[in-house]
Amino acid sequence: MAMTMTDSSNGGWTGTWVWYPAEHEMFWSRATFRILTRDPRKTTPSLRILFGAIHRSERRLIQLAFRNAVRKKQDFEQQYAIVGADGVRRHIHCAASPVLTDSGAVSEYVGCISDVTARRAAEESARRAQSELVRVSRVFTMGALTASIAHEVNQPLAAVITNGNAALRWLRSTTPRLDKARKSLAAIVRDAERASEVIGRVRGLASNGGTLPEREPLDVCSVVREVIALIRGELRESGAVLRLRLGENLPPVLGDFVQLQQVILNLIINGIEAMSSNGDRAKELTIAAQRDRERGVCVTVRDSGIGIGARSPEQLFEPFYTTKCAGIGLGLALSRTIVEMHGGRIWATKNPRRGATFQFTLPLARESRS
Amino acid sequence: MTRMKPVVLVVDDDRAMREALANLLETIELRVRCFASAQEFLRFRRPDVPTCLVLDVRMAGLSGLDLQRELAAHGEAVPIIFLTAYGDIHMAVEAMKAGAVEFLSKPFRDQELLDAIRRGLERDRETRLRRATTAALRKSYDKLSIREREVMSRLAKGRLNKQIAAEFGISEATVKAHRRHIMEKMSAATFAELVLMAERLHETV
Repeated sequence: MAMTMTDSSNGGWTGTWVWYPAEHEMFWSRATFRILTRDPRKTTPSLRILFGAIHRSERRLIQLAFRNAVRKKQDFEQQYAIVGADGVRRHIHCAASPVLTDSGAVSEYVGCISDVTARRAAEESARRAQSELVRVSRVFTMGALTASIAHEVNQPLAAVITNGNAALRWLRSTTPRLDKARKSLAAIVRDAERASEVIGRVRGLASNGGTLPEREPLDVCSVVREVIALIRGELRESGAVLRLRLGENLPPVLGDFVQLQQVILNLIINGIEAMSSNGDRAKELTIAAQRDRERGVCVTVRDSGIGIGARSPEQLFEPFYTTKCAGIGLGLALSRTIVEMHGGRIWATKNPRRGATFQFTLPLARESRS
Repeated sequence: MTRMKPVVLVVDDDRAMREALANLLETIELRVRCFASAQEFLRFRRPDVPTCLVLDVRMAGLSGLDLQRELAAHGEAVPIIFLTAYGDIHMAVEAMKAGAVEFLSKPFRDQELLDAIRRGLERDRETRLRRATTAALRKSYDKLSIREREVMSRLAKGRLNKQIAAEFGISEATVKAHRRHIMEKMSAATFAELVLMAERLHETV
């Protein structure tokens, strides 16, 4: 018995049971005894013991579910935690089906009971690993973003300090030049405001991160411009030449500003990275937003990088698919999730000459409302 | 020529930074000209005065380091002061090895930049002066006859008039006459100066 108890604590057992309602009797297989850690010689099988092992927090609900199944003569299937006679907590999967007499009465319920503790633990660790990956990929993007933001703030601050020093020099000179000092101070105010705007944008990005997506009518071009403002440092460092083709007076789409920012940001970072090994070849990044007659508004990000190779463009959007050594392979998968949640579509095509083009569409605000 | 007003050329793609630099340099009465890109700078015909370059490392298109290489490839040794938003040591080493005057990270101390600019302009002034003197020497040297050039090279090596006369089969008086003409044409005040001139010409030939 001690041997079997050890085995059962590792999980993986499946036992069977039969319940005869008319006789108020039960049959348990040996494995059922093991799972419930009951000694077959000292225990009379009963529903009270079968369900009595269920953890207090769930016991009443599971009993209710079973009673309902019996009343409606239906199948019963539940997962719950039990605490065995040995005090060990186990995860149980329990399923049962009624056997009906010719008159339609329930003669018995035939059930099985499985110890799924090990499987649950595996599922749990897989789930944890995945959320860890999501976090890591976010940290990667945040790393790139942080460097870019630091540059965006540092640039106006350097100008502020330089102008401040110039102002001091104008005032300190033997004949103080008030006009020049005033001009320097005006420049300081202007550049400090620019730094403050960058901070404001970052705060907007961070504070929206934790809340549920909010849909509001948006101008896609303004989303694109915001992202470019955030990623300017990155673009500059990469040496890429940016071409913007933003359509005028585009009708608004309905979407979550931050989520769409993340999609566009991700496509731009991918484009920059695809061109990182271009060497002497021109690095050209084209970002366009245009009216799409059929599908609302279409955003295009085209690069002149290494391209997507021989693989099918569709494959790129699968989770954990990556061609980058630093990537996790979730960026495009997440982008697709976001775009599809918005009722849009995202796809990739190979450019005739070099590089790849990523495009996504978003339905117009009035269409998606209906 | 060296008395002409020097100019500082600023290449930075950030407008606020360009204006701030121009403002600061104006306080010490320096002439400044700003460019938004390396390409714009390359299209500009630089005046023939002491020049110093203030370059942002990271710019779209040609970067500051690219521009440094480009100028060096065309033999244009303009002193360069690099400005960078990041303290990138690798870049700084590369830039300094290629002859940069200074590598400053933004934000920088104004005095450090102004000192670096002063050093840069001084270096360019010296380069220009040396180049101008050599060019003048060259011009004088070109006026010498073949025989005078031969005599000058022997004199610079410390040969005696008698030895030179023997080598070319001419009289000592003729060697002395050549020597006088050489001194005149090269505008050398002393014999020692002539020897120095010969050395410098030899270096640049």
